[in-house]
Amino acid sequence: MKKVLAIMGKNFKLLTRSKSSALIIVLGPLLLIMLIGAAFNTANVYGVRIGTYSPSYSALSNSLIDELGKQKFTVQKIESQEACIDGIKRGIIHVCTLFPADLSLKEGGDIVFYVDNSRMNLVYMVLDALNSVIGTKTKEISTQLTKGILDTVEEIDREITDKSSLVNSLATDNEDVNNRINTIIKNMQEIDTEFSVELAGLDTFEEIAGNNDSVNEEVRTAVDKIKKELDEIDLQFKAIISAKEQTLLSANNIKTTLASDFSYINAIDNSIGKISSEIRKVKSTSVGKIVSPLSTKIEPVTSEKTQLNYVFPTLMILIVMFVSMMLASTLEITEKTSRVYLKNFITPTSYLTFLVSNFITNILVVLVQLAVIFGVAFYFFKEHLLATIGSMTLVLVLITTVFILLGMIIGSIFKSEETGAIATISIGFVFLFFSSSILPIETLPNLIRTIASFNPFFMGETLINKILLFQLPLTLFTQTLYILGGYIVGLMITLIIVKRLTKRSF
Amino acid sequence: MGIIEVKNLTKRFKDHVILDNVNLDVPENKILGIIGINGSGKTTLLKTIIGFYKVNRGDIFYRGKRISKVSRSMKKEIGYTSQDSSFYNKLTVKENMYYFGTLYGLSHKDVKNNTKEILQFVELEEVKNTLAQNLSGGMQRRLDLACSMIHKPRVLILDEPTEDLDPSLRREIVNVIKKINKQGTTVIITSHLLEDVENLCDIIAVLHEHKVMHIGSVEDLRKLYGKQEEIHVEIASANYDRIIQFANLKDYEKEENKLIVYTAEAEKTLHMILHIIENDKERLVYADIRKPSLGEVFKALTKKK
Repeated sequence: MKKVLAIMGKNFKLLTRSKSSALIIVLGPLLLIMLIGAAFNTANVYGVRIGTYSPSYSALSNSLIDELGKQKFTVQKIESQEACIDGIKRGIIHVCTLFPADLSLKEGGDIVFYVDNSRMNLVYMVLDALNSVIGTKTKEISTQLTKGILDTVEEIDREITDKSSLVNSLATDNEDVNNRINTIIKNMQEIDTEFSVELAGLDTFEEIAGNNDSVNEEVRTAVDKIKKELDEIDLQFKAIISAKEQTLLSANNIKTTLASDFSYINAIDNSIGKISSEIRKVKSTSVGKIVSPLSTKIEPVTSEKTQLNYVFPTLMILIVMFVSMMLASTLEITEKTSRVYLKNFITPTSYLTFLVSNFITNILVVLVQLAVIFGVAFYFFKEHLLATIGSMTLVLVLITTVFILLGMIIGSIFKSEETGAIATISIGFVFLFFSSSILPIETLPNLIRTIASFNPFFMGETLINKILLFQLPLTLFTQTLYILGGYIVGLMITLIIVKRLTKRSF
Repeated sequence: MGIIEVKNLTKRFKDHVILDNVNLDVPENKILGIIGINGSGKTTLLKTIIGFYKVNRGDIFYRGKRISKVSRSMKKEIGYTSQDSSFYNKLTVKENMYYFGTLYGLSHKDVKNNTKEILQFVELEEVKNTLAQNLSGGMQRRLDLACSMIHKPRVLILDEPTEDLDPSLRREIVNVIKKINKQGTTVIITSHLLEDVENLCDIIAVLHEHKVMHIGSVEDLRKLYGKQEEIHVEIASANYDRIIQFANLKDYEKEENKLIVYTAEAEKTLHMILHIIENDKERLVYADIRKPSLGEVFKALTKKK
């Protein structure tokens, strides 16, 4: 232990007494994170140039171009489609946008984007921004049109509502007439038209009078007259009865007609009610819902505002990877090629003691650098960092250990700082390319994707991302942690084997 | 039996033989000098003795035991300094001493005491808190020696300790090494600065063409190969053809304008040479008879070989 402390003490003195080393340890990460912070602490897309071409610009296409300009894009009208596409190839512009001639709402038309697919990340970023601008404009236009339709519908509703009272009044009148008819029918039915002329008495009287000469002619005439009168009355009654029946028949017909009309009126009233209700439904729907009934809204699961917050985990692992590997390999090679190496070798100190001391020195230096980075990052992730500091520290120590051991192996294998640095950078780039930093790992073929998922850089990046941004507990990643632990054990064994193989002594 | 014995040692780097069947016996409490031209394998021999290089064939014994068996205990008793100053420039004199003392497994108390004692011994006490990089060349070489002696080794192995030093610094280091030896430390030293070796060493091993050609004291070497004395002659014309022809010289060499003749009958030969010079009416610039230096012995030895 005494020897370990002595070697560590020596390492730290050498690092801190060399101004450039001390600056790199403290100011390096500080400067790096500040530069990155300044560069990425924004959500805007600066410096993107868009070329546009249309055989004939309309007011609509011009207004779209104006919108693009407002979004901090540099928009340039180009004289031909070919020149526009050629502009992308020559790097003058990033996207070429072709508007159809006289683009209008009536005619419609496709707006075509030409992009440079070799710059995938930029393409997606720009297309996303362009779609957003054009989508917003399209929505604005659709909203105006829909609003007009809704205004018309509202006018129709108002008219129908006005006229529905007339229908109600018709229904009331119909009912009133119906009642009156019913009264008439009832009154008519109550009229007694039962009348039968009983002429027997008169006949008897006539018979008696005929037999009795004493009944003068005048009486007979009067009886005849009465008989005639009665017959006439009988006839009139018959006529009345017939008229009554006719009237009742007509009244019933009217009633039937009224009942039928009433049902029509009700049907009309129902229809009006239904129309009105449907119109009200349309009215109660917002214009936005009609324009985009299925609106797609991408909601981030975190509330980060700038790109720095999203790239921070990747940047941190990137720094950890390169600093750990470079520092460890350089320290190993420097020690190995140093003039003091032989003097260290001749001391009765095991190479394992040197290994342990150098490892602890490396990890402490990287942790100092991480502390500096965290100090600055605290500004951006105050709550997140405080909440996850324990998990973050554990993960970072594991990741740092993996990369330091890897750097020490490289340093033990290579004999000069130059070749060691090249090897370190090459391995670092392999890790970087087979992670999600350049292209999403999901875009790789199955086999490579499976292998890449075991890339310690990718694993560290994923862990830090999920812990820092989503505050997920470490218990969810036990498998990844076990794999990292396995790497550490494997690398330690490899390092000892490499050290023994490259050792020049007995 | 010496404290270190090298028996039939062969060391190769790939197919290139550096040491071929070397035998060497290092007597205790003496100063052994290993001399040889550059590339003769002096440094390789030392690095093989300390266990830095693997032996291809043969054995090295420390106190009668194979060093592979006593590597750790041997390391505690051996100190080593390489051709270049091997300490940390960014550490102070004291910090360097403490660092190496700890690596040698000394207790804090021993480190402290030894540091004080050794720094006084090498006269670096006053600069103990100075960064090593700020020391003069001589001080740096003394610090290098001090670091190698922090654990008071029984054997001190020094690889070209006076290399690249001016004459006064060389004298300074030679004196320090003598003092170290007087305290009972066996010293093995390599150098191609034969004057230093001559002044310093009790025993000299001549390493030539991958082998130890001879081992013995300076006097032994002189006796063996320095039977002939040297006649140094210089004439104005620097044309020595007639002298060589008429004096029938067999063993000679021309060095700049001078003729050096190796002979057992120095006075007789010189007389003959002077006679020829007089006959030829040449102007004599300089004439002298000398005993050969170690350099000259070495030259003669390697030439003879």
